[in-house]
Amino acid sequence: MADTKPTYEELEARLVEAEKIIEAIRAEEVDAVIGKDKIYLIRLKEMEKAVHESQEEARERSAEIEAIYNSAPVGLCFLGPDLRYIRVNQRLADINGIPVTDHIGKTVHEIVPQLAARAEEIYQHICQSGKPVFNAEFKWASASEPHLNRHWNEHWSPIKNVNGDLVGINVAVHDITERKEAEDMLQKAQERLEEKVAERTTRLDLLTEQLRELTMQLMVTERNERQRIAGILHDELQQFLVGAKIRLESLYQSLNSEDEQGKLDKSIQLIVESLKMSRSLTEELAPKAMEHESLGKIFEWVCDFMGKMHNLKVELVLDDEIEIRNGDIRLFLGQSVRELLFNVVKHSGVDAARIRLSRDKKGLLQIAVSDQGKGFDPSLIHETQPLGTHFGLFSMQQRLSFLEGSMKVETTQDKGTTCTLTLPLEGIEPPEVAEESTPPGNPSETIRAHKGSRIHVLVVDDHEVIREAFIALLEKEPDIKVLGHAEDGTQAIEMALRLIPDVVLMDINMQETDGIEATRAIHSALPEVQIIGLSIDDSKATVERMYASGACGFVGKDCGSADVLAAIREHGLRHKRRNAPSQSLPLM
Amino acid sequence: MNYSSDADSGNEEFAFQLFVAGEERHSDEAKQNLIQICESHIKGRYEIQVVDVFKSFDLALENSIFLTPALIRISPRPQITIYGTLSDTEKVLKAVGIEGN
Repeated sequence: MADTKPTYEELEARLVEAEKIIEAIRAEEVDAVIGKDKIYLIRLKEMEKAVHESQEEARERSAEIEAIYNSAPVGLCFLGPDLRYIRVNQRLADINGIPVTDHIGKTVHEIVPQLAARAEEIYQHICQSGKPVFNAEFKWASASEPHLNRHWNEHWSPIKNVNGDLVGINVAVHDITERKEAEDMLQKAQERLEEKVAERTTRLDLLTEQLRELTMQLMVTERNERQRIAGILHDELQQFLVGAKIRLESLYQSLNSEDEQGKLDKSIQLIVESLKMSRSLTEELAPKAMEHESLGKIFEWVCDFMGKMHNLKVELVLDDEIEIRNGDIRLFLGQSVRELLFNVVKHSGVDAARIRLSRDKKGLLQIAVSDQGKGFDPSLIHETQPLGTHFGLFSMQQRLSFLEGSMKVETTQDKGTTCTLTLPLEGIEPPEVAEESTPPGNPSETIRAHKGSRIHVLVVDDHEVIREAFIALLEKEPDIKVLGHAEDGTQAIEMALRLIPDVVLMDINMQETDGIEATRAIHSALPEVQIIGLSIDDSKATVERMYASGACGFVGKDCGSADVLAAIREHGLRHKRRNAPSQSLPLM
Repeated sequence: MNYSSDADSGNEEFAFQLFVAGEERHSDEAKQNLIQICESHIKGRYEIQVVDVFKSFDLALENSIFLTPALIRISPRPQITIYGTLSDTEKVLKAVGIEGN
C-alpha cells in the first residue's frame, strides 16, 4: 500500500493526539507503553519513589560512613594505584599536618616522603600476594609533633573490584606510642627487678656463707670454752679438792675423839661428793671420747654415759664405720645424739633407745635415734632451751642446716619417735685451730735413793698441791718413805731409773709425756717396779689403758687415803718380796 | 464522518472501549472513574468494553493505542480517544461529549 501524504487535518489530529499522550505522560497517569511487539509497563511513581528511597538510604549511609571516617581516632585513607590519596580523614590530615583536600591526588611520596620507601615496599607486597598487611610498625615524628618520634601501627587492606583486580588500598594508622612506652617501661622494670633479685640473691648467699662461718666459729668457740672450763675443773678445782681430801684424811688419824673424827668424815664426804660432781661435769663438758675420730667410738661413749647417768639402755647399730677428722663436727654430732637421747629420757616414757649410724646412697651421713615410746610433740623443736649444756632441738636443726645437713623428726603417738640427722661428709674439713703448747715443767730436785725396809715411793703428779698432799700423807706413815717426786712423765722416767722405787704413784693426765707413756717406759725398763695409776678420771677405758701399759694397780684420786695407803703397802711389799735376795742398782 | 459532539439529546447512548494494562494502578483507577462518570451522567445509556492490552494486543494496535489507560468513545461517532486515569471528571465529560447535569 503506497503511503499517501497526510492531510493538514490529519496532521492536526495527530498533533492533538500526541498532545493528549504527552499530557497523560506528564500527569504520570500512564501504566504501559505499547511498542511494536511488546508492552512496556511504566510505573513512574513507584520507580521514582524507589529511586528516591535508595538515594536517601545511600545518602544516609554515606553520611554515617563519612561521620565515622572523619571522627575515627585512627588515621584513615584510601590509596589508589601509584599510592595516590583518593580519600583521607581528618585524623590522618592532622597527623600529616596537611589539610584533607591537599592530600587528594597527591602521592604518599609527596605528602610523607620519609615513609615513601616503606610504603612502596608494603604496596608491592600486597600487589604480589593480594593479602592485607597488618601491624606494620613505623617510627617517625608527625608534622604536629616534629620533635617527638612516635610509634605508629598500620593496617593495609587491599580493595578489589568484582573481577578481583586491585583498585586501591585502605590504610588505617594508629598511634601506639603510649603502649610502646608502657611496654618499654615494663621491660625496664622487669630488668631492674631481675637485677635486684640477683643482687639480693648474691647478698643472701653471702649472708648465708657468713652465717655458716659464724656457726662454725660458734661451735669452735663453744668447744674451746667447754674445754677451758673442763680444764679448770680437772686441772685446778679437782686437784685442790683431792689435795684437801688427802690432807683431811691424814688429819683423821691424829684425831682422838670420835666426835671430831665424825665431823671430819662428813667434811671428807662433802669433798668426795664435790669431786664426783666436778668429775661428772668435766666429762659432760669435754668428753674424752670425743677425741676419737670414729663416730662409732663416740657413740659408744654416749651410750655408756646415758646408761650410767640416766639409766637409758641404748643399742648402737653401726652400718658403716665413719671417721670424722673435724673435732668440732664430731663434738657437735656427739652432743646432738646425746641431746636426742635426753629427749627420749624426758618425753618417751621408755628406758631404751637405738642409735643407727649409716651412710646413704649419696654418701650422706645418717644418724637415726629412735625409741618405741609415746611419741614426741614436734612443737618442742622450736622450744628454746635455757642456757646450759643442752642446746635444744631448734638450735641443732639450725646448725645442721648451716652445715647443709638436715634433721627429720618422725613421731606417732604411742608408736615412738625417730629423729634422723643427715649431714654431707664432704666439705666439713676442720678449720685451723692453733694448738697451744704448754712449756715444759721445771726439773724437780733429785732425791737420793734410800734403800731399807720401808716401802720407797716415787710420787708423780703435775699438780704441786696433789704432790704435796700425797707426800704429807705418806710421810706420816712409818713404813713408807717418799724417795722423791716428779712433776711430769719424762722426769718420772728419769727418776724411777735412778732411784728404783718400790712403788710409783703415777698420775695419768699430765702434759707432755703422760702417765700412760711414762708407765710403759718404766715398766719395760724396770718390770719389778710397781706402778699404781692415779687419776680423777677412773673411766674403764683409762683404767684399761693404764693396766695395758704395765701398771699393777689403779686408785682414783677421790678414793679415800686409806685406799691409797693400802695399795702402796700391797704392791710395795710385793716388790720388796720379789727383790729381797738381791737388789740391783740401775745402770746410770 | 459525523461529529456529534456538539449535540446531546439527553437520551443518546454511549459505547466505550477502555484499554488497560492488566491490574496496573492507573488502569484500575481509570476503570473506576469511568464507571462512576457513566453512572452519574449517562446511567442506563452506556456500554463499556474493557480491553486488557496484555490479552488483546492486536486490538490495541488496530486502534492505534500506544499508551494505557486509554479510552475510546466508539459511539456516538466520531471516535474520540483520551488518555490517563480519567480523574478530572469535567474534562472527561467535555471530551466525550456528555452534557453536565
